Amino acid sequence: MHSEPIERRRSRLVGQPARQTLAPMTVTSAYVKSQRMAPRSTELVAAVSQMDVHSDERFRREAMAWIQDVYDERGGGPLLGLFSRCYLGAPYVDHVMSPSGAILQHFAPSQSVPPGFEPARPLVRSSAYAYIEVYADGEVIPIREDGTSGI
Amino acid sequence: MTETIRIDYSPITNRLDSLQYQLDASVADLQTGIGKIHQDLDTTTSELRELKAAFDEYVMAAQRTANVQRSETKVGTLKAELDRQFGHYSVVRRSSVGLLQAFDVGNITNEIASAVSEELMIESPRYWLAPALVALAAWSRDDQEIAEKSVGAAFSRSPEKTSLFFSLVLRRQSREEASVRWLRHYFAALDPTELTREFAVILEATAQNGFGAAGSAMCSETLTRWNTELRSRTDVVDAQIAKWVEEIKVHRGRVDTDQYAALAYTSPQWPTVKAQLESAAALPSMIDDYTQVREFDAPRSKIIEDHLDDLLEQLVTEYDEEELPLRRDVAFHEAVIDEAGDLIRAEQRSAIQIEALEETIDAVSLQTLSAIAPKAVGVSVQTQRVAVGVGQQDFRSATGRFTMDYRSRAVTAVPLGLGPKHSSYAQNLGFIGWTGSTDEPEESAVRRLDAAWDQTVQARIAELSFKNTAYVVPSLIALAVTVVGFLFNIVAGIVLLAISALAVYFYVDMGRKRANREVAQVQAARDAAMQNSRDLLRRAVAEFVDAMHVYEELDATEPELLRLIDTWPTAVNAKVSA
Repeated sequence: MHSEPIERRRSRLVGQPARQTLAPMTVTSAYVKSQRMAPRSTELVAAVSQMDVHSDERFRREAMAWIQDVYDERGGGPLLGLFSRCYLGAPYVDHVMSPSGAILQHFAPSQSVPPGFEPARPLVRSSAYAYIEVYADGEVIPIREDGTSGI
Repeated sequence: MTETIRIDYSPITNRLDSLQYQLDASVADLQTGIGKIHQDLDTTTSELRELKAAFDEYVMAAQRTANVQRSETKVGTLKAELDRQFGHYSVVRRSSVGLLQAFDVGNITNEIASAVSEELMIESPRYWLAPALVALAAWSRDDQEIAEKSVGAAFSRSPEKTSLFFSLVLRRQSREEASVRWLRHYFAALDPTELTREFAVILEATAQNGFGAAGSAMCSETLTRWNTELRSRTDVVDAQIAKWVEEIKVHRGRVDTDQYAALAYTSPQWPTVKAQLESAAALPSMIDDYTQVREFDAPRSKIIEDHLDDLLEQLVTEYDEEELPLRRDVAFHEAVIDEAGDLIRAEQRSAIQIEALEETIDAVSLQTLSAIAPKAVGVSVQTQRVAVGVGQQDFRSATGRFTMDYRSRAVTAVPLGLGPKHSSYAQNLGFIGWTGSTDEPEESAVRRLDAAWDQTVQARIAELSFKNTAYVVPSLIALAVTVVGFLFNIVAGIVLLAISALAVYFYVDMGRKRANREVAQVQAARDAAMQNSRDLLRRAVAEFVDAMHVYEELDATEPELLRLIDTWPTAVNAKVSA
């Protein structure tokens, strides 16, 4: 009986910090949200949706860095990643470009995508969108071929 | 000498044998009888199930028909009630325009004009228009005191409508400056977040240049200022987009379930596919409706007085607040009739109409509702066209949100299941069940289905088929008989051997023939069942492929809708909402 209260107190201390680090950033200002609605240039749309075409590793990295710069300039807040269709062929169907612009991960239909991208999967399959932007605060914005946002 | 006592048991054994034979025969008959009853019972159960399904459908259809009939009656009653309570206002309303037209022509006497307007004043207590008419009549005979008194009375009963009324009347009588003064007076007292409904007349007049240059400039300037102020708040813009999304949802289609009967029967995810198709069908419907709005071309008279008379009629007819509760009920019941008794959809459809019939509304929502529900707001199609232009960005965003919503739930393959009761064959033979998916290649799916059927009847076939052990018992009997025969006499023994061998052969042969016949029956039943199940499966897959084609066609009309929105002819004010 004596050990119980002490144990509970300990677990409370242990539990708290972990919970704090997992809480996502949920507060986004109206300005940042409105910046996300601005149209994207055709070069940006082309660069993102044709990421697979480049086989040259260095060229791809430069393209991804350029894309990252463009997004930083737009001021739409931190991106979780860019999600689009994969043209490498079977078994891959979609890929995710990380915010640092450095990593490109490919996924097969049976593989699960990182958390936050799951709701965007059926949208990536749809032929109406060029690619999907997923923001750190959880907002998912599909982008059409002409660069306008889908919402 | 001991004698062996031999007791002859043969009659008893014979009797026992014949009894056993009779018993076997009876049991066999009984089994056939039971088998038949079992089959009849299965047929009855499946028929009962069909009856229940048909009955449920009938009940739902009857419910909907009852809803529609009740609503039709209600609409009639409500309209009669409206007429009874507010019908006498129509006399006053007609008289207002009539009086003005009579002044134009100048063929009525002042006495009659005064008499009519004073009589209406007495007959319509608390109605704002009555003292306004008295003021008009007093004005025409130059009686300033009465005119001022009447204007004061009308103003105290309804300041907004009176201001607007006199603004229009003065414009009609070419008193521009005075008209603008009344208009300014009107705007000064307005709160843009809580406008009363007659403000729609301003929208109408702006669309048709009803106030002249100065008046129109004031109206546009005020509207632009209000739009910028109110639309700087994202929740206001989101509310407008939400209204547009509701409007698109109202345009959803209805899937004819008969065309997809097999798919609906075999797939547990049919409701998802149905919802997908119905949502996508909203797009062409919206294109049709809004193309009509854009192409609308009403004959417009060149005479300014006619325009103003229309505006005046609109002002005096559409905006009396006491009528609003009844008009909201009418809107709901008309929606029930339009949706053929589906109460849930009727509520969604009438939600927008009912919102437009609220007592107060904010300026931005009023413009959005003029674009979506012009009749409920009380404006014409021209004003609707202008309002769509003002709400262009909202419309575009709403289209994007609506399509994103149904696309995020779209499926490209659904599971299919043929359960133990999917057909009367399945029920009779005790089908073990089969599950698969629409994206499985046909040969593999059919192969697995056939295997399932084979497994289903395996036990029964194994039970019925001829086994070699059937030889055992008769052979033993024959052997016993032969041995007894040999004990008597060699010749008798050989004869008995021959006879018993033949007897065994014929008996076993009969048994084998019967077993083969029964096995063949079961196999025939299984083949028929297999064919039936295969047909069902193929139909379900074909219907799904068809549904996907239809969905893709409908989904591909989104760019056309976006083009319609982007090229809207009156989108000059679109910059305001950016």
